[in-house]
Amino acid sequence: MSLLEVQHVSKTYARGDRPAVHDVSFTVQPGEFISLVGESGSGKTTLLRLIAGLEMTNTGSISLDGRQLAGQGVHVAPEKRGVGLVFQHHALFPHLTVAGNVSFGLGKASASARLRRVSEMLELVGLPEAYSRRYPHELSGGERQRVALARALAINPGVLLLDEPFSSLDPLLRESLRDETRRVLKACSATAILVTHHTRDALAVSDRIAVMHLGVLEQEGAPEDVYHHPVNGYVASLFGPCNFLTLEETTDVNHRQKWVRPDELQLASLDQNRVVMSGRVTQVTYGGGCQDVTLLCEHLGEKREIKVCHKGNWAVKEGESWAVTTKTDGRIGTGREAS
Amino acid sequence: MSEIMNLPGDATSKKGWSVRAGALLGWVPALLVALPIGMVLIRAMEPGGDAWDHMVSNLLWSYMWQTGLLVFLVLALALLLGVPAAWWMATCQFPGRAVLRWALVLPLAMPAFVAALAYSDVTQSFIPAYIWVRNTFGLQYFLLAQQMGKWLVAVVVLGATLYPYIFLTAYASFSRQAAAPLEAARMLGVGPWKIFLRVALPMARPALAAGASLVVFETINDYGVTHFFGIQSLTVGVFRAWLSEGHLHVAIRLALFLLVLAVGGVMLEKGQRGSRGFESGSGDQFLTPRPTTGMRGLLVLCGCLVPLLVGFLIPGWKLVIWARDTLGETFGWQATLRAAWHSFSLAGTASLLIVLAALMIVASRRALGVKSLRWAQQLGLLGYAIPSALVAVGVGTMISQAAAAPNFAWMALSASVTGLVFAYYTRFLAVGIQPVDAGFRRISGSLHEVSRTLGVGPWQTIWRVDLPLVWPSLLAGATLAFVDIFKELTLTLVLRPFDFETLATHIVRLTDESRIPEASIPSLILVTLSLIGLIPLTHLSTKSPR
Repeated sequence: MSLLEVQHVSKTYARGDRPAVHDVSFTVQPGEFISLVGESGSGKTTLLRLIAGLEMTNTGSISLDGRQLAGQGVHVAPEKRGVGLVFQHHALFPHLTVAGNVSFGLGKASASARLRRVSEMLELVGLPEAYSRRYPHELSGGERQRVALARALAINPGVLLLDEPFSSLDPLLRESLRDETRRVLKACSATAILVTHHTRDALAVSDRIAVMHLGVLEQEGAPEDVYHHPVNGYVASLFGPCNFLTLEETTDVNHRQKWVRPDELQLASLDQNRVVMSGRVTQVTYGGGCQDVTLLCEHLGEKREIKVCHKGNWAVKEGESWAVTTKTDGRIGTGREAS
Repeated sequence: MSEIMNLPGDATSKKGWSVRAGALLGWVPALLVALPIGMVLIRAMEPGGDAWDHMVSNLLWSYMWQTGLLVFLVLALALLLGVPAAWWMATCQFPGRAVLRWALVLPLAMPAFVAALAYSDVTQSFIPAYIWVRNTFGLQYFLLAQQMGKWLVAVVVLGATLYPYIFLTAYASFSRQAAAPLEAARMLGVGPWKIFLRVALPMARPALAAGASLVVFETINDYGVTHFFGIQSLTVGVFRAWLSEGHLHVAIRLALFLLVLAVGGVMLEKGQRGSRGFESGSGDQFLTPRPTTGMRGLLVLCGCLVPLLVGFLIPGWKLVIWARDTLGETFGWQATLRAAWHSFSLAGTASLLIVLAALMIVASRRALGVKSLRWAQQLGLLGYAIPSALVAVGVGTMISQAAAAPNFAWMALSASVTGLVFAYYTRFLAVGIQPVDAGFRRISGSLHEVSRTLGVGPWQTIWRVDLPLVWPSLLAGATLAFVDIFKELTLTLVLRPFDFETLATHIVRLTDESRIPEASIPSLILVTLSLIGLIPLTHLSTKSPR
């Protein structure tokens, strides 16, 4: 049985000209780490706030562990949902120490129980116990994020919501903290939903990715599926450059249309005897591990820009002509008969 | 609905009982402000009678033009003193600038009626000029010259004590809001005069309008200076009609004219605020002042010293000299101390009520997120724009009507102090709301939300998260309200019980009895306490890295 069930949820703000979230449904399994990905204004944060109870749904229902949180005539207040939330800017209480922050939501627990829980949580997120007496302004950005995570986990939330938690960190720290967060969440078998517009973060840590666009859930699936088999151009381009091509299978003559990533293509020398797509190189940029090559090719009767991630031993120069093939057995359709 | 719903922005659709109760907590203290206005509006419907006809045909026009002219002249002088000082402080680095940055605000601690008594003997120095005018032009011009002399001093006193409102807003605009375009203009090789006229002034227009509206409010509210120099303003007219001639309904109608003027001031400010397109949006960028030394630095220093001298140092020095002379003689300490205690207890009680009410209004809005509470807050802020004369007439009418009811005769005796506190509350609630609201705004909304998701309810969140963070703002609100009430004159003069003096009324009484030097000691006490109230203000105005 699913832990979190979001069914046909919609939300339109009073001054909004379109729904911020429109008829979104998905489920989250216990212990699963799911990412909601999308651009600014895609509705992912609104969806998170609807789950947290900070906004009210217009239609649809949300249930956690079989208990209805939102739906027809039901709206459970945020403090009664058992849902943890970590904000982008940490939202640590500046007037409380680390211990005060972590134990904030522990209610009427005894002092010793609170201390014990604080120690457990600090250990879990990899902070020394001596930090418990520090104030938020005495911590670095990464340490604050760890405290925010410890505070949210201290109450044993049914589901943990992470709202762009790594966005305010510099790139190096972000990557290490992202991996650390996944380790912590998996260590305590927490169920978590991460909202992010950094697709690399989502690909790296998620068990499943849900892509949102203009309030609608466009695609949901494993990171590999969403990356390699996007259902439309929006999802494809969200995760990086992509070519929409018609491939010819070598095993049969069927054509199939597919989104192909630049790293799935390769450059080959022009072979007059084979039917391949070819074109002139219009732009070459150095992308770190490879050359990002843009060619102007003719594909099914129309001129099209094709992007290839070139890792060959030779350097490609602008103005040269090259053939383009896939690294797998699929050939790119040209619309011409083989000679 | 199964459980409580009290969410920012969404609770309006379906309210739980606790939301309604909470909204009431925010609305009641705000609605109290509307009571005196409502009372005045109702009573203004009554027939005016002969007294009103007499007022319209003989005095109203005189009151109107004198008030209009006074507002115009005071505003012009305040702009002349405040804007250049703000510009030099923002753009020039000259010797003494660090001290002047907070010292230029000091005239706010000098109540205009106190400065007026310090300048009382200035008119006497005009006597040779008056005699020359009489000998040269005749009696008619002699009388006119006397009037002009009084107007001149009154305008200088009001302008020099009120210019800090302009200075503060203009300085903030020049040094911060306009920093990027000013630096860009400087890089384009444009001279300082051209930058000032073509870039800085147009961009500072909304800020100047905000400061100017405060100067307008304070000028039309003034009773002490206008009464002292015999200027027939509308406020003086209201009290004359009510207290000297006993025509309450005439006073009420005159007070409504004051309200129209005040609303005009508000509209001016709002209109300018609407044109925020002039601002650059470089909110946190401060302008780097240009080193200004030598003769130019000296001139700039002198230019900044003039308003400080006229608005604070000269009257302050005069008071100190008089106080030193008076202390050697028999001084009525007992009456002064009793008046000081009255001022202290009244201001203490009212400021405590004000800050509690401000907290109720702002915190309930924060906790419940009910949109209608925004209007409650606006209603609470309205009081500062309502003329004191109108508040006095409204509260006075309420007290007299309550006392006239059966079994409420006791109110006639005891209600004056209560009424006075209520009048202070109405007039100065805005002074409390603004810092409290600013304090709450500084706290990120996500702190409140994260507390809710940690299982803590809205009111408990206010107690555990917001209050510990907002208390300096509460203290600032209470201090500002305390000081404003401590030096308040107009309401106190009218609504105080018989034989009950505060420091402000004590000073006016001594002045009326021509015991001006004796008034110096209570005046100095008043100024000293007002200086304490400036601490939060100077802190805000000097919050710049350089």
